[in-house]
Amino acid sequence: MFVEELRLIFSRIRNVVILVLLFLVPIILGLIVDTFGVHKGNGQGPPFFSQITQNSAFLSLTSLVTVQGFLLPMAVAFVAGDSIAGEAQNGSLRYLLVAPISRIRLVLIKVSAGIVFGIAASVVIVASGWITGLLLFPHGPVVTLSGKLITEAKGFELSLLAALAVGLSMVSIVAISVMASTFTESPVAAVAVGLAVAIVSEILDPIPQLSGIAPLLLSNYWQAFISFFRSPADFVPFYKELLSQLCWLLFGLSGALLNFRNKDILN
Amino acid sequence: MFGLLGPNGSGKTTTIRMLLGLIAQDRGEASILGERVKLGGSDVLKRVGSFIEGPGFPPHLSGISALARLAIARGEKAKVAHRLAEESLERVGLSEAATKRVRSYSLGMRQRLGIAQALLYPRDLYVLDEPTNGLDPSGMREVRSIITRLAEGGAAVVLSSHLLNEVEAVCSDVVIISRGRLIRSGTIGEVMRSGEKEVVFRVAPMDGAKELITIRYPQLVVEEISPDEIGVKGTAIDAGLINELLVGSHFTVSRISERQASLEEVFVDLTGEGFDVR
Repeated sequence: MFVEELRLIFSRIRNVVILVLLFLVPIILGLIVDTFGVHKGNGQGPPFFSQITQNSAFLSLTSLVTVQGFLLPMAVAFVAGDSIAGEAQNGSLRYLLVAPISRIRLVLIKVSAGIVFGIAASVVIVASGWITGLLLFPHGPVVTLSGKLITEAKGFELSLLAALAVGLSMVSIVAISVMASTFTESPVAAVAVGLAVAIVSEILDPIPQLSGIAPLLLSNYWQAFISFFRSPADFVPFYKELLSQLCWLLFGLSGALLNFRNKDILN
Repeated sequence: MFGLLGPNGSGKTTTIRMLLGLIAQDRGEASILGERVKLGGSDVLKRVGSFIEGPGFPPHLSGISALARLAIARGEKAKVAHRLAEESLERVGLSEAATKRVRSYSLGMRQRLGIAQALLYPRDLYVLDEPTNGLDPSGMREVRSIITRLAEGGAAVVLSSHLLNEVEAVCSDVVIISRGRLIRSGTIGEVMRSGEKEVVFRVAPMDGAKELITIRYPQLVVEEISPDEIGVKGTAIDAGLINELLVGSHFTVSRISERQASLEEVFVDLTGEGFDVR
């Protein structure tokens, strides 16, 4: 049923369009940088941005950072928010449940499929970034943030790992969107909740007065993957990120299950 | 074959949803095929095919994938699920449209797909809520014959419908509910007999005949319906006794005709004519 759920997601033209749009992000970013160059001002702009033109590896990383703020959460919330509410809206939920499939299993499948979609979207971005990067910019050994050189293969490996990390950073949004999706019959409302939670978290995160609670926010460790490109690679922030996402996953899942387990299905 | 009848808003669909574990009941418990149904899915539902308040499928899937998905949800392997879906589509005449997206289906085609969904496996019980809604007359006949075949194959069928002649034609037993309460149950014959019937006597002379019957049987409604006919309405009318009474009082009875109320009349009689949905 999990495979079937993935087929349902990836056979939907809307979701494929989302992936194509994400694929375009590195291309557009690459073309802009290639045409206008990087303004080396005061180090502003996203991490890796100033290195884009130096090595093909950095375009995919810059794209990840760019997309993680809004487009990726939106893409993920679109799929996860639609998961249960969409089925309720088109009436297919009742037929699934009497098929029968257990409600708990259905929620678990919806959440895991949403997580896979998040990872797939991140991999698409990294792949497109690499292809565009190789076409537009010089390639060779990659300079890490600490100034050391690593081989191109190692750089590629690390950026795939970064894609995985960014994909997993969306777990919280998947879980919250699915939870919202069990409360409403309107997919749009569930998508909005997922996206709103992400944006609020991103707004609160940098506020100094709130630094005490910042680690609790779902977006606090989102950029953990940047530390992969120090030398030696630092995975500690990523582990914290995993823990943070796991907590949010448990929160969203329990909310979804508690609500959905005893919910009256009226449409 | 069992008919579930009731006016709009009487609780037919609610009852069906409770039986299928889709909604919780405030009190009591729901069981189906002798097994208790819990909210959130019971294994007994594998033995029940159902059609609930119209079809419902993801519009971007093809008809065949939409059905196969349900078979997979039930635990079938993808290959088996596709074969089952194919066979089921054939049974409702949708083979040609199997690979088209549900979005492009007409109302009647969606209805057929919903029926195909209920027929995905051979099951012990079929619960069908308004299965012929939105179908053209030939579609209705096909669905009716499909339903009859299911029953002949040994399965039990619960058919909920507004179409009383449909229920009258295919069901052996009926239940009538109104405002969430059971008002009548039994075989079609029993329920129809429980309704009013009308007996018409052709009497000569007419003078005094009506009064005679009214005095003896005050619970019956007696009317002169034509210059030489008297109609007697009520439940439990014994035409023979009334005949004896008339003949004994020197009236000539030249004809007695009896008219049984149709299921529709019994239905309206029991559930009220009102159009208010509560």
